[in-house]
Order: sequence, then C-alpha cells, then structure tokens
Amino acid sequence: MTSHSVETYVANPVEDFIRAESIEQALEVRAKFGSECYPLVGGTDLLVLMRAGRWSPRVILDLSRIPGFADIRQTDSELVFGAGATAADCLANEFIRTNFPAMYKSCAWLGGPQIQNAGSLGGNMATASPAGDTVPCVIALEGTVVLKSKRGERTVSAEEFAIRPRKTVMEEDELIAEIRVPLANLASDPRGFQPDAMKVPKLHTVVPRPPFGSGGAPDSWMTNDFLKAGPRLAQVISIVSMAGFVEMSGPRTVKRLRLAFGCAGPKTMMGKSASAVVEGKELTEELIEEAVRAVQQDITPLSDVRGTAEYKRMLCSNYARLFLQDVGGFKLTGTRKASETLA
Amino acid sequence: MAPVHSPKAPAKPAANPQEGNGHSANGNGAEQFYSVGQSPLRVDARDKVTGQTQYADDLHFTGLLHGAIRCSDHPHAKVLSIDTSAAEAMEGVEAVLTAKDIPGENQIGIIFNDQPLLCDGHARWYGERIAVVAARDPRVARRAVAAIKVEYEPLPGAFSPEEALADGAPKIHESNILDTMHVRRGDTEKGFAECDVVIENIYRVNYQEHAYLETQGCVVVPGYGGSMTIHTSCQCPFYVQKGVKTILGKQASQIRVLQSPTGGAFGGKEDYPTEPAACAALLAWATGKPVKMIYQREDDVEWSSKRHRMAIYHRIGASKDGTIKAVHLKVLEDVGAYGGLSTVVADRANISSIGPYNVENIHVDTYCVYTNNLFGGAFRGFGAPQVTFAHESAMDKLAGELTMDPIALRKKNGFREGDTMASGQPIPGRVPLIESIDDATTLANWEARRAEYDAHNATNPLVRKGLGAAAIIYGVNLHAGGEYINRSGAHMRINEDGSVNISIGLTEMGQGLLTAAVQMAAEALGISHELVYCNQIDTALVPDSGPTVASRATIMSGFPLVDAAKKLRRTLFHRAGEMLNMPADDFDLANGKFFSKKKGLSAGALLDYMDVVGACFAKRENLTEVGWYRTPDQPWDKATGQGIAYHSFAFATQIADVEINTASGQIDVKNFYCAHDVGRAINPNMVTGQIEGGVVQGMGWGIMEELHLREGKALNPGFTDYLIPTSLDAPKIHVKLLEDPTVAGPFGIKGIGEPSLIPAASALANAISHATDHHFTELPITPERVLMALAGVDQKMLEPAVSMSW
Repeated sequence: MTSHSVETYVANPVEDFIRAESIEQALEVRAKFGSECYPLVGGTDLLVLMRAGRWSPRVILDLSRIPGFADIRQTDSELVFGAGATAADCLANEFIRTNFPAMYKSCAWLGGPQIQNAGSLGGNMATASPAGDTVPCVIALEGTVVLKSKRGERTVSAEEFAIRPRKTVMEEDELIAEIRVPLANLASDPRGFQPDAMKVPKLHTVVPRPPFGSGGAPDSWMTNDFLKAGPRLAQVISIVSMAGFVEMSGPRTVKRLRLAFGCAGPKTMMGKSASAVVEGKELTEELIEEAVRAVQQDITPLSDVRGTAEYKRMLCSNYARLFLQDVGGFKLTGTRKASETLA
Repeated sequence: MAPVHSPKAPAKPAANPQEGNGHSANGNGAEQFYSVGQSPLRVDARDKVTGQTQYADDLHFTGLLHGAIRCSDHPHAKVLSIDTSAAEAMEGVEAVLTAKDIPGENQIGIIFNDQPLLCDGHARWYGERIAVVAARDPRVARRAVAAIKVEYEPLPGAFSPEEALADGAPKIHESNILDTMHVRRGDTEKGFAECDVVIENIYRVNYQEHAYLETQGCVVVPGYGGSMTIHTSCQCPFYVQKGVKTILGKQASQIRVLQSPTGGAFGGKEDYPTEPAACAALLAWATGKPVKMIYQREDDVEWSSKRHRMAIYHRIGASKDGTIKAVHLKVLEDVGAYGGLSTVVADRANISSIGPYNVENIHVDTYCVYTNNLFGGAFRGFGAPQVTFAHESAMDKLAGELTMDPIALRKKNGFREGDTMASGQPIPGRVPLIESIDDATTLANWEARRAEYDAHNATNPLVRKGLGAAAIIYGVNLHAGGEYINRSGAHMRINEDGSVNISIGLTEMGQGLLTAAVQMAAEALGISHELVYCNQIDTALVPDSGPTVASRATIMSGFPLVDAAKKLRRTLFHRAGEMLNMPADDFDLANGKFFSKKKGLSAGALLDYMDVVGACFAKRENLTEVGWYRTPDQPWDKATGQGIAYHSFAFATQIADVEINTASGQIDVKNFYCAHDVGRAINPNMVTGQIEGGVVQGMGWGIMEELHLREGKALNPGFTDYLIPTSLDAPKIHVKLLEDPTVAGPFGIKGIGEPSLIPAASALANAISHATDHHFTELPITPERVLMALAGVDQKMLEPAVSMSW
C-alpha cells in the first residue's frame, strides 16, 4: 500500500484577483472564467478552504466594493438585501431588529465581530453549507434569491437554491445579486419587542415574550425566531440551528408554520410534517408534542465531530417545542426522554 | 526497556524541607518588602501588547531555509520503502533526509530510549516522522514532503489501553506496558469491610490540546566548528540541547539554545520542542545553512503531546458518619506510541489520586500503556486533573449516598496540620485546606445558594442551576522521581552604573517569570526592581536548572537568586564597612539604602547603594556571583508509593456556578469562586491572572474541548472544530489568596501555575451534576452529553473495547 494524499495546507497560487467596480463588470468576469472564478465578498469561508488546499480558484472576483451591492432596502412588497450585505449591516438595521428577529439573532450569534463585519448574506447562501446560519431565516420566511448573469436575471425560491453542501442551482456565469423576503411575512409581533432577547444569550434559548395585553390577541398575527446550539458562545459553527416563522389566526390558532432546520440534513430542512400537524388547529401542549415528534420525519442529520445524529435530532425537536410553546404562551420546558421524542 | 535516567533511591533520610533560605524574606531578616508583594507592570507587557516582540517566526537570517516534516499515513505499519526522488527534484529543495542520514544516534526519547527522531522502519502512530525537507520557500518545503512516496505494510493497531492490554494485542513495543506505579497503605480489604457505603465508577477523561497561541517553532543557525545556535519557543532549553547533541553526535558545549519569546506553552513545550529543533538542526547540519521550522496549527495539534487520556477505575467506601475508610483505584494512562514524559505524569497522577483526604487504607495501581494514538505528555496539572476528576466526583456521589452536604464530607475527611499524605509523609508546615474550603464557600455563599438552586430546579423545567465544589492538595515542584534534576543556578552581576543583570535557568513562557525574577532579585539584593534586568534564558549563560514545569519556576529561580544576592551583599557590606570603619556584619541593605542592622533603617541611612557600588568598582572588586540551589533529597519506594513525594504542598478549593439549558444541554458558567493557598504572592496581580487563566483552561477541558480520534487520527485538529473558551464564555472569577509565608520556598512562596487549573473541571462537573441530578463520569461534559443524559440516553465516550476486571 502506498501513501495517501497528504494535505499540504498551502494555498495554490491565484492567477488574478479582480475587484469589480460594477455589477456589469462582475458579470463579464463571471461569464469569461466560469467555474474557474470564485466570487467573494468577505472570503470568510473561501479563504479557509484555500489555505487547506481544498479549493484552488484561478481567479478571485471581489464583489465587496461594488456600489450599492451591500444595501438593505424595502420595496412596496419586499425587504431586499444586497448580496454583499454583511451580518454587521443587518445588525445595524432597525427594521430587521424589530420585525425580523430571526435574522437579527442569526447575525448576532454568527462568528465574532470580525466575521460579522466581513461575511455576507450572499456568501452564506452561495456556500450552501447546511450550517449557514442566515439561510434558514430566509427560507422560513419564504425568501427568494435573485440571480444575475449577462444572459439576464431570474428569481428562485431560497428553499430550492441549495441542492446539497456546496452545490446550488446557480449557473457558472451567474452571481447572487439580491436576497428578498416578502414584507407580508414581516409584520411585527404584537406581543412586543424584546430587546433582551436580541443580546447574545449565554444559553442560546428563547426569552419568553410577555402575554398579549388587555385587548387580547389580534385576529391575525405573526412572529419569527431563531435558535442555535453550539458548545460556546462565539466563533462556533452551529450543531443545529432552527428558524421558525408562524402566522396565526387567533391567540393560539396556527394558520401557517414554517420551521427551517440547519445542520439537520444536506441542506436546510423544512419541518413540513410538523406544519401539517398544527396548521388550522389550536395549539395545546399535546398538539405541540405531536408536532415535536413529527419533526423527526423531515430531518436526516449525520454524526460528525460536532455531534451525533441522535443529539441533532433531539435538538431539532426541542427547538420546535420551545418555539411553539412561546408562540402559544405555554410554559417553556426542556427536553423529554429520547424514547418519547425519537419514537 | 531500561530507563535512561533511573532515579536511584537515596539511602539517607530526607533532609528537613524547611532547611535553606526558607522563611526569612531576603535571608537577612528583613521584615519589610519593597518589591515582593507589589504588582509592577510585567517587564514584557508593552512589547507584547504593541506587537514588538520577536517570536521564532519573526527571526530572519541570511540564506535561511525552511523545514517541513513528512509523517506516517498509517497509525501502525512497517515502512517498506521511501522514495524521495520527486521531492529532491523540486526547484528550491536543498535537502531531503531520512533516518539513514542522521550522524549521531537516532534517538529522541526524553526518559526512555524508545523513540527515533526519524522512522526506523516501524511506524507506531500517525505522527511518526518519515523524512524531513529543507527548501528555500516554506510552501515548496510543504509540497515536497507531500511528494515523498512511502510504501507501507499496515499492521493492526491498538487504540485504547484496554485494547493494548488484551490478549493477542498488537505489539507496539516489546511490552505494551511501559511502567506501573503503586500506592499501598493499610489494608483495603479490611477497610471496605468496615464501610456502610461503597461506590464504584469508571471515570474517563479525554485529551486536551494546549492551544498555545504560538505554534511550535525554532530557527537553527550553524556556527563555527560544527556548533549550532538554536532559537526556540520552549520551556526547557536544556532538554533541547540534550536532544540535538544526541542526534548530531556533538558535545553539549557546541549546542547553544536561546529561548525565543514564547507565546504560551502550558506543558506543551516541555519535551516536545526538542523534536522540531532536532529536525531543523539535522537539516542545518546537512546544508550548512540556517533552517527555520514553524508548525502550522493542524501539524501542531496532530504531532505534539496532549493531556493524557485516562480511565480511572474508582472504588471508595465510608462509614455512616462520613469517615472514608478505603480507596481502591486502577488508573490506565493512554501513553500513545512513545514514552515521552508519561511515566512522570503517571507518578503525579498515582500519588495525587486520593485527594486532600485522610484515608487509612489505600490501594492504587497505575499503568502506563502504549497505544497507536497520539502521545500524551506534560500539560498544566501533569496527571493530577485527571485523577482529581475521579476523586472529586466520587466525593459528591458519596455525599449524596450518605445524604451529607458535599462540603461537610470534604471537611470531615480533609487534611489538617500534622496529617499524613497518601505517600506516608507527614505534611510539612501549615495545612490551610479547611481554610480554603471555608473561604471558597463563603465567597460563593454556598449553603444559601445550594438551597436556592434546589428550589429553583424544582419549579423551572427549562433552565436549571447548579453549584459544585472541588478541593485539592498539590505537591509543589518535582515528584521524588525527578529528584535527580531538581537543582538550579542563577547569575547576578552588578554593573558600574548600579544596574543589575540576572540570568536564570528557567523560562518565561507567558506566566510572568521574568517579572517575578526581577522582583525577587531586587528584594534579595535590597535595591529597586527598576535597576534589575533579567535575561531570557540562554544555555551558554546559566547552568542547567532543570525544566520549567511543576509550578517550580518561581521557587527554583528565587532560591539561587537569593543565594547570589547574599554573596554580592557580602562584598558590598565589606566595602561599606571599610568606607565607614564599621564591622561589615552590622550592615543591612534595603530599597537602595545601607543601614545598621542593630539600629534599623529608622535610625537613618548610612550609605547609598550607588556610592558603595562606585567604591567597589574603584577597588576593582568582583561583583558577579553565581547562586545555586538543590532541593533536599526525596527518598522513595516505588513498589509502595511511600516516601517523600514532594517537599511542600499547596491547597485550593474552587466552586463553580452554572446554568443549564435543558432543551439544548448548553452550559453557562456564571461564576467561579477560588481560594488558593499560595504561600506568598510575589506579584498579586500576576497570581490572580494565573488563577483566572487556569480556571478558563480547566473549564475548556471540562465542558468543550474534545479531540476526536478515529484509529489514532485526529479528526478536528484545527480551531474550527477543536473549541476552546472565548472571552465571551469566561465566567466571573472571584479569587481569594491565602498567604502564609512560612513555607519552604524563597520568600515563603508555593507554586500556582498548576493548582489554578487542577480543580476547575471537577468543580464544574459537580455543579453540572447538581443542576441535572445526573452523575457524569466522562470529560468533557459537552452540551451533547448533558442533553443525552437528561434525555435518558446512555452515551459512552470511550467505550472500552475489552472490559477488565480489577
């Protein structure tokens, strides 16, 4: 038997580094070099892979200086993130803080300040890692990805963007230009805004929101949230993450539930079976447990150095429970026995 | 195989450990201190904070080459052939060397002659070095080692001590048992028969990576006559000197080792830096050019030593009133492929395994077992944190069985003055264990908090709270097995302008030794610390003073500094006597002023330090002295583990305060309450800093750091997935220093480097057990282990492949 391949941890030389001044120029470069060109904004993922010798692009295309590429704005119907918007850009946005707490939290818990300043939402999406923390937030709220190329522009649903780790529907000549989330899904939570819940919480748990005021619950309301597990509080890749979005028709009646799980399969996994359990029904503790068990049908986590598949499965169910308990105004509880959850 | 250094048991009885320059401050009866006990800024702080410090990788020499190492692709294999032709053909490659090119002896083992520098045909782990390369560009060197073709015949491997001890296990060396240690006291059979409660557990602890910021690195520069000057990031320059001289077949005088400023070590730069230095020296010898060898992080994690993985089979019994009657342990240490320092680590584990408790009947067997895993070595605590996890977890479990408060159980059995250590030696001096327990429990408000948390946990299903304690006895300085190297020297020289150069034989590695040495030298001499400059260690300047380990550096640099200062003071007092026509023996010198010893400084200063130095220079007197210190003898009986294990002991209690998220298992460490017996704090700020650092490093090992191995291969050798605590994870750390300067060290000091870490993981484990009502027997207690325990899933971290009876 002869030797295996030896990891050198030496980046191979890059032929060219092109800093695009405009989206048009970037698309030209993309069209010319195709798969040999790797576009980046912060490079927080790519540079690590390059150093490990696992990725050797011929050309690096820097998108970070394109005017307007990092803007976050609103149209009549959508919240629009320029693909170059960083986590820090999201954290500085008041609308995201109040109306899109899931995205705010995923950015606040992502890496550390250096990563938050450099890494972009477009990069998080394009890398197509199941551990990308902002991706489940976009997917849970039915966001879309706007792709551009010299050939034109197309919009795909964020849920269908990633195929498997590091593989997406993006063509070799395309770039992510924008990520969009419908404003219809971003109405503010009538239970009020919880500034404490926005801080990096030492236990990464749900800070229960206050119950509805004297007027009771409105006929229609919605909320979203994000949870993540890691052995430490910063610079940690998620063991499991979950973004939850719910639209309600009454204090405890669920109209629509979307649970998006990170690190629970080859891409962001949707808890559709749990949605089927609760949609159109009034939440009870029993119904929540039914949904918690149903989560297991839609996830396929693997065991790796970050955790065993069983642990990840327990986390997905426990996070679904916490989210639904908070939505229904029930007392928050911890794990149940594995035999009750995984069965 | 035979140990290279076999410490022979001295025939004569132990000398009084209190003997020597011990108690009195500067050896001259001075009561008041001017430098010791103060917290001046660290001498190296400004340079390090502003990025001025030149570490090994910052050094440049004309014609510099860069070294790289090729290691085995199998954990256990015969190496059939090595084809270096493709590497040699690469542009910029200047040397590709294998075992056959070594001019001296191909042997790098520090205690046992069991480890070749370059593979001798039998690769015993993934870190087995096959070949080394020097090239003009570091990237070319790394590509060249990858281009070396190696043919193997893979052999079956053993990946746990249990596997290696099983019948028919693959032979890693002649015997898979490297060594065994024991403690025998009383009669455990009789002891257990008298017990009302006996508990048994198998405790398992995992590796810990040192995770120093600066990876292993060195530069070797050839000099005249085949000599070599080595700049290396290390703890023990004399180990490097010995290793390199063996490989190159040189004399010690030809190998000069200068410690480069070292960015953290924690034990990971005790023995290991010899290996990259010997590789670089071999390449420098072959090419005649300077060679730099800097490890990438992944190399460092995969190839350098780790805190040993151990399995501790533990049985403890007590009578109803809580009196511990007997303890029986079997400790299995996973040595890895080569002996390294494993036997001396096991010595400390063996004798520390009972904890700070009176136990009449003790039976301990400690086995050092070879495996095909990466190798264990020195790491802050040196075997003690592992056994501490066992005895401190067992104490809490025992307290539960007896329905006693864990603190009350500890105090009932804890050492007091005049008690006898597991080694059969009376503990010398004061024994402030109970004081440390009381101080820590007061800081933590133990009783009220435990009750409050029990009430909280009864009604709060999501977030649970816990408070847990751990207490230790720590043997300061080297174990009896290291007696033969337990001595040290220091140079002290007064310059014409009154400034003083000191050279010590121990290393600054981030812990603050340079500053402490300056403070001690200034105090011992009687001048301002601003006049003293301490050289970074250089083997050409000072005699071999043993390793900078075992929390011994301040003690072992302090003693010879005091000795050298005494000699210089004799010269100064003689000169002062001539100047004032007074008897020399009536002088004292403190804070730069000469005064009459009889009348005291309050009667007025007689002369200024600078005037006397000037007079000495005018008379051409010698103002350079060498100080020396050797520890008292440590007789030791290996078969029973009885004798003088250590000459002084330090005590500590730490209490951890945690919250647990029962949905995810995540742990928030909120507070640590630490009461440490330090003898005397030379620099209280630095001592507190040591304790804070020890707590956080111990916490990392306790709850998050986990190196995953698959058949000996590290699966997470980088900082992406090997997680150490960040500043955000660090708890609030409340420190109480117990000062009792009546002990054997200079100025009454004990060590603090290791005791700061040893109890931390155990205190955390007990806090987590309190919060979750689950007895954890494996470290690290990761969020996964917490959640799975709460979810009722039995999850074994290190499933023994072969069960072993006692």
